[in-house]
Amino acid sequence: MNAELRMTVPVARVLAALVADPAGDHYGMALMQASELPSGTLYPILARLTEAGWLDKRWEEVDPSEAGRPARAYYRLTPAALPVARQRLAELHEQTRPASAHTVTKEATA
Amino acid sequence: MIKRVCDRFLTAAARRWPADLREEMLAEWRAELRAMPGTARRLRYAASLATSRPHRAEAVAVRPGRSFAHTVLSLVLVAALPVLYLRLSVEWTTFYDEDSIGWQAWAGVGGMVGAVLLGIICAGVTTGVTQLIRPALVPLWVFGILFVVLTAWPLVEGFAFNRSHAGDGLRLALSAGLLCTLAGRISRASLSWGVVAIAVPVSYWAMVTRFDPYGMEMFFDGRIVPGYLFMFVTQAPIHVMIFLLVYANLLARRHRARQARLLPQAAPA
Repeated sequence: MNAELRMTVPVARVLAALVADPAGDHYGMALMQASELPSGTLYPILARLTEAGWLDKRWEEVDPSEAGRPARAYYRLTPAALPVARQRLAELHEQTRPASAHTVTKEATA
Repeated sequence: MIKRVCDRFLTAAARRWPADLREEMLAEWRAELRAMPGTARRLRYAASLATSRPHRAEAVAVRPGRSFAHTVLSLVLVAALPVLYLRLSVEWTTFYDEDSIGWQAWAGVGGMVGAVLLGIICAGVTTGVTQLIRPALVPLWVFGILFVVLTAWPLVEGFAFNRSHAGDGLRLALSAGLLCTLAGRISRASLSWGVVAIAVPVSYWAMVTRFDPYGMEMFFDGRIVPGYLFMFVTQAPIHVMIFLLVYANLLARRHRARQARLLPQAAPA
């Protein structure tokens, strides 16, 4: 797995949606709703995460003729990526905390 | 209708994804689209994909130097060959007599065949043009150059600007450009080349605005039709238009065929 992934806000949103239910199978439409990203932003991120080894992609096991629709693709964080994703999201959360909180903490410990 | 528009959007989006992912992504998008409720949401979903960039560029060999060289060569060929041919053809299209008319007719037919062959050869050696110029704009490129050359040529030779000649060139370039654009948009080969065949006399007529046998029927026992045919096949501008129309349409069609090979076949959603 390539851990060197540029953590942009859209990537963080997708990862947050996946981390919220790490055992679940996430398909495109659900991830669009959870991350509030349009399809044109979401799919390039999913493809990049998959190529970097962060996501497992598998096809729904369904008979299209019986289901009356084509099989969908499911995404899930790989076991190796889950702790890294959590850590990176926590780091991002730390970096984006209001500056006053840092200042107050530093002043209190000084 | 909406389904077709959405599928067009998805196909256009897939075209810009790397070849190894194209089919898979298209299948995934179609499955999602099928499961998606609401026409507006479907349209938004497909349009968003069609207007966004993939995560990495298409894995094709990008050779900007070659494309640039082909475009320069195209400019030279489109600008120089018609002028050269029009100058040379003056030697055999400005006099007619009983002895010459036979070989002139054959030379005219040969000129038409040669124009087609030259168009094919030139399109073959400048395929990189459509990497820099969108295929839909190739007619504008070709006939825009022709118009500039036809307008500038008399000035270079020391003549004053002639508004009437410029108008002739503009009508020729506009009619040929429009019909060639139409031909390029038709996927069926026979129809597309049919439009090109029609574009030749139409654009020529747009330039000269009248066409008569100029008394050539007297060489054909007073028969008008052979006189017209003779005048048609021996007109150097007709040969030039055949060359340029074949060239432009071939460039556009070859680009489209290449794109179609790269694209997976559209399957019903």
